[in-house]
This record gives sequence, structure tokens and C-alpha cells, in this order.
Amino acid sequence: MKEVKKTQGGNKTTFKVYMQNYWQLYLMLVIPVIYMILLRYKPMLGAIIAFKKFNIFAGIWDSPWIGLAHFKEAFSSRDFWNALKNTLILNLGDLILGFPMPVLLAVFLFEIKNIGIRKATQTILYLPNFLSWVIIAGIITQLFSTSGLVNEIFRNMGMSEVNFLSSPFIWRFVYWFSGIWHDAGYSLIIYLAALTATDPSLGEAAYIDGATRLQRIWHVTIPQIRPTISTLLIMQLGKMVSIDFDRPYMMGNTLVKSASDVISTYVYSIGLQAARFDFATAVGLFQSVVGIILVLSVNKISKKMGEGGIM
Amino acid sequence: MRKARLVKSTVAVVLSAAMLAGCGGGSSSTGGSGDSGNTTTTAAAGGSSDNSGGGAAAPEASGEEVTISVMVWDRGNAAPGTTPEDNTLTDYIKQNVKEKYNINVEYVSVPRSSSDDKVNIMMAGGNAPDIIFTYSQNLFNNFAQNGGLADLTAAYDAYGVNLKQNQGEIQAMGQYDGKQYAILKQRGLEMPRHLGFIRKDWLDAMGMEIPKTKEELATYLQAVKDQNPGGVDKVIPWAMGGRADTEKNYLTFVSSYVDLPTDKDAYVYNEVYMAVAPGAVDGIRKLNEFYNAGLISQDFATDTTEDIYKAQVSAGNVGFFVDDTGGTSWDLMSILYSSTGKTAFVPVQCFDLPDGSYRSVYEPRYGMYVMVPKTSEAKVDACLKYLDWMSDPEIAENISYTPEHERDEAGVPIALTEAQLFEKGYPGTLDDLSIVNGFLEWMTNKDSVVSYWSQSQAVEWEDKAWFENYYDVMNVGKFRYPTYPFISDAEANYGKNIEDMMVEYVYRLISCPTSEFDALQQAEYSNLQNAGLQQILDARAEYYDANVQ
Amino acid sequence: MSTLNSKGERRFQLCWNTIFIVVSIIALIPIFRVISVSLSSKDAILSGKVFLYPVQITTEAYVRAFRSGSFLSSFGFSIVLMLVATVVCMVMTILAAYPLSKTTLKGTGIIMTLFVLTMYLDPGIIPKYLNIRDLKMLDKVWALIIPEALSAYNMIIMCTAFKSLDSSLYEAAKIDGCTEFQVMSKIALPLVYPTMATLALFYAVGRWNRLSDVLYYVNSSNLYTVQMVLKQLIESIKISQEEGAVSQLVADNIKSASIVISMTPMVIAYPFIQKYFTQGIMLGAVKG
Repeated sequence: MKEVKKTQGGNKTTFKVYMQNYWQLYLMLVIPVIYMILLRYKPMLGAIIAFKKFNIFAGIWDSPWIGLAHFKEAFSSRDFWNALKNTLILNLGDLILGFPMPVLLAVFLFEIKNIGIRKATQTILYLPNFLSWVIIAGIITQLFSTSGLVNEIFRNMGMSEVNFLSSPFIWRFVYWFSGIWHDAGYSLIIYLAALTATDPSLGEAAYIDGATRLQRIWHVTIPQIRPTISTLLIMQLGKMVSIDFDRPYMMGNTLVKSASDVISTYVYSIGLQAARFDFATAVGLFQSVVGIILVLSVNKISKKMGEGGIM
Repeated sequence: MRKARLVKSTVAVVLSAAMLAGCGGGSSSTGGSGDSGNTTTTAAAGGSSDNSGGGAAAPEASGEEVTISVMVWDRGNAAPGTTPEDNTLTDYIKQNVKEKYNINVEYVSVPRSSSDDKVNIMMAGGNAPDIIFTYSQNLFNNFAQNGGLADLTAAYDAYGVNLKQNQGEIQAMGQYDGKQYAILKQRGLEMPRHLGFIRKDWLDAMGMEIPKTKEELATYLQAVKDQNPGGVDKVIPWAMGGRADTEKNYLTFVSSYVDLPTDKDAYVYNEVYMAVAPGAVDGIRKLNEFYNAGLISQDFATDTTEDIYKAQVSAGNVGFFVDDTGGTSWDLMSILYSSTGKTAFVPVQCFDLPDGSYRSVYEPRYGMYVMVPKTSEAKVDACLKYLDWMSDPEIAENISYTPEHERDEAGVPIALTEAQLFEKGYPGTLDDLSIVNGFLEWMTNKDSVVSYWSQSQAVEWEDKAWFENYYDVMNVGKFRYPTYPFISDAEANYGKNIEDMMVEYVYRLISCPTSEFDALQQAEYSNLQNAGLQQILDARAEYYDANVQ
Repeated sequence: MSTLNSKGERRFQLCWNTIFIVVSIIALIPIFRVISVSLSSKDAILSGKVFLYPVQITTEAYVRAFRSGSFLSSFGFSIVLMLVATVVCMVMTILAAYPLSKTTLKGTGIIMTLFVLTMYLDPGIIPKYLNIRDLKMLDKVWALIIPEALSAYNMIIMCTAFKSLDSSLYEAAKIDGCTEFQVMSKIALPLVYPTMATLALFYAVGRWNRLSDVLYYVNSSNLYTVQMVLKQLIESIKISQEEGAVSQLVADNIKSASIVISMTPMVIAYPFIQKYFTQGIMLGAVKG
């Protein structure tokens, strides 16, 4: 007992010193933490409707329990697994094709000495982000349908038509590239901000050392934004089973349903369209759990590899 | 000392953030007057308690003072300086209802495009307005079934004099378990859902008559492909679009292969399930044949926005198309007319049924479900008085055409142009405030309707005779599917999904190679069955047997 | 410095300048198109004549969009709301990210993890709505600011930026007797201006474009943002089906004009935000 007390006393003094140094940091965290609890975690209690037959008039707490029925319905449906598979395929493509693109753009844009072009490119590449997918889908149809501009050019060049929009395999590439088109500018800005904050003297030192440009990019520039790259990568990997609704829904058509039916559209057609909030919440909960497992494990792996994770 | 420093540093943080945001207004200027609605009520309450000693206003004229809140749609087209809740038309309504019944009306705006979602959410939160509405039978049924609606039976009997007289016959659809839970809005001008249009000038050029049967249509389509009578660049005998949310391009054709011997068949398959009704597959097979013979737009299924379809029709490359009646189809034809200067498309009814007659499907007479939430049960009487007042054809006309409208010599109310409406502070869509009676007397008269159409053209693109013919063609084979106030659980849960899947089913079958048709049809049909199609159809049949016969 | 002006360097610059110009043009195609459509006549659009340049040029669509009462008033409201929300968001983000970037601070691991997990949690609209109702924010302007006041994604980016700063800078300041707040505001923040500018932009754009909270949390139409008004203009297809054939579709040129108008504030504001990117370099250079 005594010993314990003693150590506690000892802890107390170190604790006091510790707090004297750090109390302001804890104070800063108070509001964000309260915010997080009240606006992010408290509503999660409502997700128990995933296990209930939710009656909007009885409310979340008084609706009757039905156990795992919603999960069973989803997991026993072929459409669900098909949607999950498509979600993974489309997200994987975005990861492989879409993720490196802004890094590449940022690194080379940073090498450009012409400030005008640099600034203009950066602004312009961000603009497509403002357009909704309805608009982009409309433009894509005009460009890539069999009577569209691209096929017109192909025909004039004596090549055969390509079914960009009706062949599920090719459609996926249209989907991925439209994603780059729409989103690359967004991450590009993050990387550029990170690069701007880096120390330019390092790069100049490398010049003097006589490193080639690629060597310099690889050994000086990239390592400087490496924390940012790994942070964004971890966050994106955690989102592998989540997918935006508008993009696949607007870009898809009935002929490519086998590739464009994803979890969000599945939840929409089976759940939300019929106001089945309980079912939609059940699928959402599944996505949350998978997302959390993914992000925690990727973070762990990243730490083991010495990249330092995000938490 | 330390505190002062802390304050200083906090200020520094806020300031540096504020500077970044573009030196904007200080954080206290939060813009809009957040709770205008609340202020009114509290002010009213405060006022009455202040005056309680003195002479209370003048409520005795027509009962106790009640305040009801009524949903109103916001479509983003209010007049400058007004809101959907507060404009010249709402003032007119408020004033009249106040004078007549001593009811204060307040409006709560709901964005039109997400109306059902928002109503659902407000109901879940227990803070919906006293009068809400939806076009969705599903939503109504869901609310009624789960006990979320106030019973209107007694109030309807007591105060629904006009309603019974004007909209009485459609009110059965608002019942659940024998009680009246909704008042139905009567739709306006009666029109078929879809109508076909054919190139009259091309028929003439090829010496053909307007087709009266599908066979004659097929001959025409083939002739258009072979002869290209218009000499256009890329002729499309029959143009279709690929919108995933509508069956308008093909359903009239396909359903003409379906025989509906009894009322029960008509009820079970309805219009919604026509694509899977007995016989429909022959119609789809025929379309597949057309498609593979190059008679239908080759890339229609990927044209999900319809841009290509619309462009082709209005550019005059198309021999035939089926579209929603009125609206877009008129726009497309008027563009073509203004570039050629002569009549091109005429309406046509050529989808003959097995027995040689026609079936032109009309909307049911009922439209919107107007409901009172359970939480507003105490105000049911006031709500019904409000609705009954609006049911009066004269009032309904005043709301739909503004109180200051005039009529032309044919007795048709003259609609104000948008500029006139905005100038006087009226909302862009007047009809949104008339929530029970859309059907006015002039709509029953052919001459009035034709005169209304020909006057409402933005650009003069056809003469009266064209519209007269339009009226006649659309009245051939007028047909309404029977409807009942019932929706099964299967239909409530899976109905919407099945509807989308059926569009997919037909599109895929039309555009597949003929040799794969049968295999694909079986596969896709079993998908539909797995998704709950048979349960829905069975439940409909069961309901009919149990309740109608 | 000679390498910077070498022939290889010049060729590299020329090559990549060209590439970026081409990439920019590709990215601009949809914007060109939206602008062209907004300046074309309804008939020309419907008949598919408009692709990259306007046909039958008319400013009718802009006149109409501006004439619509709700558009202009909501525009002003949206701008004020966006500025206020961005300030609140940035304060929250910095308050969370700065302490959490200190690896020596006890408890940061668990708090950080809790923040990260919020990115993967979605309780669905009904629980969120009921929560906002219970917090008495419905139909108040706060409902459009508080619920999204802190994005874990942005906070983590901010945190990464803080972490990448040289910790020796802090220690020097602490030895000088600065408090944590002073260290943060005087030393750390100026060094991460580029990231702050980026995140402020993201928050501003996010607020500008976000619809769901306007849709569900407020009723009074004077709290509608401009995007909400646009959505009403644009999404009329399903509506015409429900209401029957009579209702009219809004012409594409008006939709496009609305999009162009709604994009304008961002395009104007962007160069000002860009200024902070170079400022970061200078400060970094001075310190170095």
C-alpha cells in the first residue's frame, strides 16, 4: 500500500511538472474533443437501428429489435456481393491510376520555373472539382458514345469503333480517367502546399552535388512530401469499401450495370429509395467496421515499415 | 498575467485564421435571420398575454384563432425580393383564410427536388408542418401504416363540402384501414402518359399513309431506313434515349402486345409491371428485331442523359419517336419546325392491341397525397377548412392563375408570363400553392384546351389544326388502370428497385444480339424474380381477390 | 547555378510546360463547355449544336438567373456563411491538430485514433438529424456551420504539416519563455501557411458546395445557400414525371449559367489564397 502511495506521490510531482508544461495543449483540445463526442460519436448511438425494424414514429429507442435480419438480407443477396466486388475493383483502379497522378503532377509542376504556368495549371486543374458528376457524365457521353466525337475521329482515321460506354471492361477505364480528371487537382494542392513548405536549399545542394534531375526528385523532393503521401494513402486505403454515389450512378448505364453497381447504388436502390433507413444503416455499419479494420491495420503496417502512420 | 497572455494568443489564432479566410466579416455576423418562423409565434404569444386584459381582437366571427403551418415547395423560382413562404400569392391566401375562418397560415418551404426525403426526416423528428404532401403512394402508406398520420375522417365529413363535391370520387385512395388519412389532389388537364410522333413530310414523300398498326409502322421504319426520304446525314428511323428512370420510349409499344382480359389482370400488372406481363416479351423481341435491323438508335442505352436523342429529333434526323406527352417533345418539335418552317411531326396512334383497338394510358385522376401528421392532430379541423376552401374551383383558379387573372373569349384563364408574375411578386410556379384542386372547368372542353395550347406556345410553331388533331389522337383508346389504396410490404420495399431493374431488363434485351435474346431474357427475368417481382405480383393478385371481387 | 540554364534544363522546361498546358486544356474542356452552353440559345443546345463554343450567343440565361429573387439573396448569404464557416473550421482544425502533432503529449494516440475513426463512421441521416434537433440547432444558421466544423481528413493533413516542422525551432522558443500558444501562433503557424491556405480553401469550397445540411437542417428559405437554389433549378426531370406532363423543364443554358455564376467567387478568390503558397517559401528561407 505504502509503496503504491509513494509511487503515486512521485507520479503526482512529475505529473505536475508535466501539466505545467503541457496544460495549454490540453486546453486547446477541449473544444475539438467535445465537438467530436457530441457531433460524431453521439449520433453513432442511433446506428443501432441497424438491428431494429425502424419505425420513424416510434423513434430509434422504441422501435422493435429484429437482430441481424438486415445483415442477413444483405449478406445473402448476390447483388450485395456483386456491388462489393465492383466497389473494390473501382476503388482499386482509382488507387493505382488515380493516386500517383497528383504526386507526379505536383513534383513536376514544382520543377517548372515559369511561375505563370505553374500558378495557372494549379488553378485550372482544381476547376473540374466544381462540376457535378451529372455534368461530367453528360460531356463524357457526348465524347465517348459510339456516335460521339472520339469515335468520329477514330472512324475518320479508318479505325474501328470502340464501345467505351457499353463494354463493362472499357467503361471502367473511362470511369477511372474521369476520376483523375475530376479529382487530381484536389490532392495536387495538398502536395504543392507540402512542397512549398519544404526547404529549397536541399534541392540546390543536390544540384551542386551534380545529381540528375530524376535522382534529385527521387532522393530530395519525394522524401520531403513522403509523410503527406503516406498520410493520404492510409486514409484512402481505409475507404476501400466506401464509394461516392454520384460518380458511378451518373456515369453508369444499363449496359454496364455489371461493373457500375456498387455499394452506394445498392443501398440507394434497396434501402433509401424505399425509405428503409434501418437497412441502409446496416450496410453503412458494415462499411464502417471494414473501414476501421482496414485503416487500423494499414496504419500499423505503415508504422512497422517506418513510415510513421497517422495515429 | 497568464490569463492575459492566453487571451492574447487565442485572439492571435482566431485572427490569423480570419485573415486566411479573406478578411471577411467578423465571426459574429452570422448572416440570415435564423429563426424568423419562431419569432412570429413567440411574438404572437407575447402579444396576446400583454393584451389579455383589454378587448381581444375580433375572433368571434368564425371560431377560435388557430395557426397552421403548411408545407410549400421551393423550386428556386421565387420573384426577386420574395420567398416561397412570403409573397403576393401567400398574402392573398393568408388574408382570405384569416377572414373566413380566423386561421393564421404560415408556410414552411421544402426543396422540391428532395421533397419526400425531407418530409420523411421531418416526420422522424416530430417537427413536420401541419399540412404535408407527397406524390408517393409508398410514403403515404408507410406513414399511415406506422401510425404517423392524423385521422381526417370526421373533419372531412364535417368540413369537406367542396372537397366532396369536386374531388369526392378520388378520395378513396387516401384511405387506410377504412379511415381517411389523406386528401387527394386532383390532377389538371387529362393527358395520356406517352404519345408517338411520326414525320408527316416523310410519309408524304414516300407516298405512305399515317400508319394505323404496328405492322404499317414497321413498313414505314424500314422504308425510312432504305429511302432516307429527308436526305439527312444519318437517318434514325426510331429514336430512343437511355434514361434509366423512365420507360417512356418503349412501354406503349411493348404493352400493346399484352392482352388484359380482366380487370384483375389490369390491376395486377398495372402500367408499372407491363414489361413483364404475359405477352410483353414478344413486344421486346420485336424491338430487338428492329434494333438489330438498324431501325432504332444504335447507342440509345448509353445515352443516359438523352442529349443525343434530343439532338437527333430536333435536328430532323428521326422518323419516329415516343415520348412523354407535352413538355419536352413539343420543345423538340418546335425547334425542328422553326428550322424547316413546315409541319414535320404529327401525333400518331398505331400500337394496335391484339383485338385491333388501342390503349392510350392516362394518369389516374388523383395526384398528390395531402396529409396531416399525428403530431398536429389538434389542428385537423383547421387544416380541413383550409383544404376545403382551396377546393372551390373559383379559389383554385385564383391561386393557379393569380387573383387578378383574366379569361379569354374561350373561357380559358390567361396565364401571366414569368416577367409579369415576378414584377407583381408572385412565385414562378403558382400551382404549388393550390394543393387539392388542379382541375378547372375549361379543361373539359376541347376548344378551350386547343386554344390554351396554341396560345401557350413560346414561339408560334403550329397552327390550331395541329393541336386539334393532337387532342383527337390523344383521346383515341383512352384507358386508365384500376387503382386501389393498397401497397404490399414487398412492393413498398422492393418496388422502386424492381422498376429500375425492369428498365434495365428491357434496354438490355432490345440491344442484345438476336441469338442471345432468349438466354438473356431468362437470366434477366430470374434476376427480377430474385429481387422480389413475383412476391409483388402475387400480393397484388391476392389483394384483388380478397377485396375487390 | 549553371545547370539551371543548361540546354537540358531548357529542353526540360519547354517539354513540361507544354505537357502542363495540354493537361490544363483537357481539364478546361468541361468548363469551356459549361460556359458555352450558358451563352447559347435553348434551341441550339437541344439540337446538340453546342459543344465547345457557344452557338446563337445570348446572355438571356444570365439575365434570368440574376432576375430570380432567391438566387441573388442566397448568393450574398452563401458568401457570408462561407467566410464564417471557414474561420470556425480553421480554428477548430488548428486547435486539434497542433496538440496532436506533439508526439510527446500523453493521450494523443488515443484521441488521434478517435478522430481518424470518425472518417469511417456514418450513422445515417436520421440519427444525425435527431442529434441536431436535440442540440437545438434546427433551422438556425449554426446547423450549417457546427456539424462540419472539423474534418478529420483536413485535421490530419494539418497535423502532418506540423509534424514535418523542425522541432528545434520550438525548443529555442520555449527556452525564450514562450508559452505553447505563443509558440504555435508565432512560430508554427507562419511556417505552415501553405497548408493552412490549402485547408481554408477546402473548407470554403466544401461549405460552398455542401447541400445535405441545407436540405435537412433548415427550413427557412432565407437560409438556403446558392447551391441549394441551383439544385432546385437543375433537378427537374423526376419532378415532371410525378406531376404529369404539364410542368416545364428548365433550359440547359440557365442551369449552366447558374453553375458558372456559382463558380465565380472561388475562381476570383483562388489567386489570393495562392499568395500564401509563396509566402511560406519566403518564411522558410528566412528561417533557414
